[in-house]
Amino acid sequence: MSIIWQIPRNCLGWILVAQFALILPHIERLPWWVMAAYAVCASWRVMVYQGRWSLPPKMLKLVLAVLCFFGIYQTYGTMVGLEPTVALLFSGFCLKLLEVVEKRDVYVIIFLAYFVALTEFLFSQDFLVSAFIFLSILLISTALVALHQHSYDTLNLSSLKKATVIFSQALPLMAVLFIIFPRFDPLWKVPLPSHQAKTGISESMSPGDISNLSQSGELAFRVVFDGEIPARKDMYWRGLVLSEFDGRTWTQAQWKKDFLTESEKESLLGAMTNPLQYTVYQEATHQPWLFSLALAYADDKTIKAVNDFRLVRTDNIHSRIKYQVISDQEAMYGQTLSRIEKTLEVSLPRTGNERARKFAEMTYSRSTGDRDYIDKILTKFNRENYVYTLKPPLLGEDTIDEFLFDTRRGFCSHYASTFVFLMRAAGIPARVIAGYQGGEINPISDTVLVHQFDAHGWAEVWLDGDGWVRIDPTAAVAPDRIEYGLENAMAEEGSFLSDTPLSPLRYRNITWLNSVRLQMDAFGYYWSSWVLQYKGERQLQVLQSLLGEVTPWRVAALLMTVSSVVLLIVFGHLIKGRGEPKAAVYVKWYLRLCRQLEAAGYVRDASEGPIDFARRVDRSNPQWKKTLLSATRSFVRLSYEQVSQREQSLLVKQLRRDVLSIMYQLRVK
Amino acid sequence: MHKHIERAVAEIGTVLLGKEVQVRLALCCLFARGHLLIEDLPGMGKTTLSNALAKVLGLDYKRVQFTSDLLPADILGVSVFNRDTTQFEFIPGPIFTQVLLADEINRTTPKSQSALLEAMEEGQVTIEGKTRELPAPFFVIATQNPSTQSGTYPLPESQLDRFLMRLSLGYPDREAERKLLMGEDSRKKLSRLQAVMSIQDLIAIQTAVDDVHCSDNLLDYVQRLVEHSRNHTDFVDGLSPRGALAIMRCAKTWAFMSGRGHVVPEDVQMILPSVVEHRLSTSANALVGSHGMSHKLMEEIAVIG
Repeated sequence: MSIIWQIPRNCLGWILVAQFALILPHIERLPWWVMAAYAVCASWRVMVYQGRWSLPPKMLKLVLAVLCFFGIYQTYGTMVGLEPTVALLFSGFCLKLLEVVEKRDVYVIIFLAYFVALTEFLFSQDFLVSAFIFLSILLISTALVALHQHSYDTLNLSSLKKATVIFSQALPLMAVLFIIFPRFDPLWKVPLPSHQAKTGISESMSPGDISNLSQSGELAFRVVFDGEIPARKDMYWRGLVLSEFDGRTWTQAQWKKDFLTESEKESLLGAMTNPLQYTVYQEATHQPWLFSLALAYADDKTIKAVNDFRLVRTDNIHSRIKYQVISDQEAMYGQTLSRIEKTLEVSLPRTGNERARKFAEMTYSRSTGDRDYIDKILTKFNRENYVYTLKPPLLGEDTIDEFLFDTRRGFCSHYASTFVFLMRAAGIPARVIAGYQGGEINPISDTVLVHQFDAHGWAEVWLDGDGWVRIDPTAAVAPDRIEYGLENAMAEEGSFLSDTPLSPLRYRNITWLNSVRLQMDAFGYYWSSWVLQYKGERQLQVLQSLLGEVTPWRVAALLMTVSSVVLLIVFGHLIKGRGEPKAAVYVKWYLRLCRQLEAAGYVRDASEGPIDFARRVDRSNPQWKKTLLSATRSFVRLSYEQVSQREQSLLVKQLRRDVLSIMYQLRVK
Repeated sequence: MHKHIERAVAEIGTVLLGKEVQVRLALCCLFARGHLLIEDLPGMGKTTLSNALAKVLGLDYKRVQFTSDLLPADILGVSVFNRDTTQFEFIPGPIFTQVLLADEINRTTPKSQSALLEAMEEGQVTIEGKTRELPAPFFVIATQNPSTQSGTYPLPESQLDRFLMRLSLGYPDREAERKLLMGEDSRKKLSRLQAVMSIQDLIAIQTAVDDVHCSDNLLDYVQRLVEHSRNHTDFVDGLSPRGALAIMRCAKTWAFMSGRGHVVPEDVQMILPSVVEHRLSTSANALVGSHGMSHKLMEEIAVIG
């Protein structure tokens, strides 16, 4: 019979812990049966360790592997793509537990674990996720350390301690490599997670079909202003211009695809008298449009300016991006409207919503002009019994008529849609703008956070001489929505974020919770701007400020300097450790006690044995003599007696307790 | 076993009043399988102690009074021609015993002193080319007068080194002396002393001592002591490895006698003067530095280091 090699108990324990930590962040993504497979493999391994079961035969392993392939195909319907591949990696990672026969197999598992740890980054690069992956890597390293230690404890903390030391020794080098390592564009792109739905505002708007507006507390984008942050009521983040109406749904006009030429962009920039500069950090939307304040200009090759003063990216946004915008809401630019445009911006379906059309004609005929007409409509919304609600009734065929005269309950889309309809019915060019309004100011990072629930719709009206003018009919109905945000506007109805009870945003009125949330958000922002976005320009800037001039020699010198400093420190410790053995913990505690007693007048001569000293002090009969005797007993046992490890740790604890107690009593005196 | 030890101490205490520590040290020396040298002025109870030790331990003992005209053959034995068998017959000397009481060892010539040498170290003697085993256990309990007294031949260092311990008794305190003066003749009392243990008990104690634990911390301390004696110029000669071994053996025995299974620094400090004093000082200043050098050594070395 050959001798069967076993994974050391301590190492097996740490491997299982590390594996569990690796699977944990994927739990939502991986199919349930991968977890089940892990549980089975882990328990099997433990049984093997205890000698109750033997390792599975070859056939069974083959069957399990085939089952995994089959399961993944069954779950995802494909073997290609990010998620199926990660799931495959994980199932292999679990099954490998059943294949460990020799020490080198443990190495395979551990090195595989390092690789598997990085898969989480394909899905999220949040700082919390990153911190967790750091922890997982520490756990894997602990398993690696444990493989080389002799211990019969299941999870010996000394392995973790050692791994932590090694880990922290690597940190300075990691920091330097992070700073100097050049960022290449990826050679191949990781296929994107396929299940991620499109988030954010949608391409069309049909208020009649929505009875309960769902809101989400997710961040849409974050804005950092170079100067002062404008007032909340002035922050209208334009995203989409909806010009076509089919009686029910507003959509983007197919014809409006003209981009501004370079010279037009220049003249737009020239027209700005009071430009506002800001940077937008936009989360992935999987759609191309960007968000900016009115009359936006961006100097970026990947961003195009549309002639309705929006910015659009050349391709869809699949990861967080950042862009700089210059805006001026008052810029005098684009003051002409072509005939075609004018016709299109007043066009309505031939039939339908007859009551509204009549009302528009009648009101317009009684008005003195366009402006007066607009005022009359807004006054109607304001004076009459219109209600701003997130739970409007469903509307039938003639949505405008029903809302305007019957239900009178709706949210921003209803008002914007109806308002624009009434404008067009009176022959005034108008359009619906979809985007976000307002935002929350995080005082810690001084940024504006725009959440999904800040989504908003409003109108723009063409007035001869003034150009496109922003009119927000919602402001006439619910001024609170614009001044203070959705949460305050909905305080009575209680419908704010009602479908996501766990969202921390719901609890903004709890002060400490809110400050924690803002702190986390600020940290996330710094993380994203300094760690994730650390490349290109920024990297060069940092390197220049560090090195003066960025030459290969200087970069190499920086790398060498830091690594030699780290090595010197480690080396110094090694040398020091060799010269004189490190004093044990209990010796430190006992000597600490002696110092304290010396201050209290009980001087122990260096050549005096601990028992003799305790006896001498005992004779002067201090209050704490029993504790001193107990401390001395523990110290003597630790120093001179043969004690087991377990006993040793108990004695050290006892000693520490006694020493602290004496110190406390001395101080009280 | 500890009961035996306590009884032995008490029993000897009846004839040697007020000297419990010295009695314990003497017993410690014997339990550590070492030879004992008792040095003091005449009339301090040296002979009483040595006699009492031998009797209480239940050992067979012989006494030799060392004089200036003592010859080696007087100790070891001599071959005598037997007329009946027409052969030389070996008449064993007093050394063939379990305990040899060598009274006033420094009154004899170096020649006779060195006759003891081989016997003490190796437990055997070679007489007329033939090696003879001594009985086991074999102890030498020697007494000597301070070398400054007239008519003494100071023991050579090599021979001093062979004694595990050197004890001095010192004057008794007032109370003990009063008792002594009031009490009956010590010679009578000595004859009434009873053995409190058998040879088996003695051997059991000797074996048990070997199991006493010495931690690294303690060995560090002992090594610091030894190294200091070698490196520091105040000490004429440093402690030999045999000296270091002697410290360890005595400390272990003392720890055992104190009822402990491990040695603590206090044990080392307790036995240190008796064990190292006669090794540190040369014979020339043996009495000058009495108790001085070992205390100096102890005071200069930290217990916890």
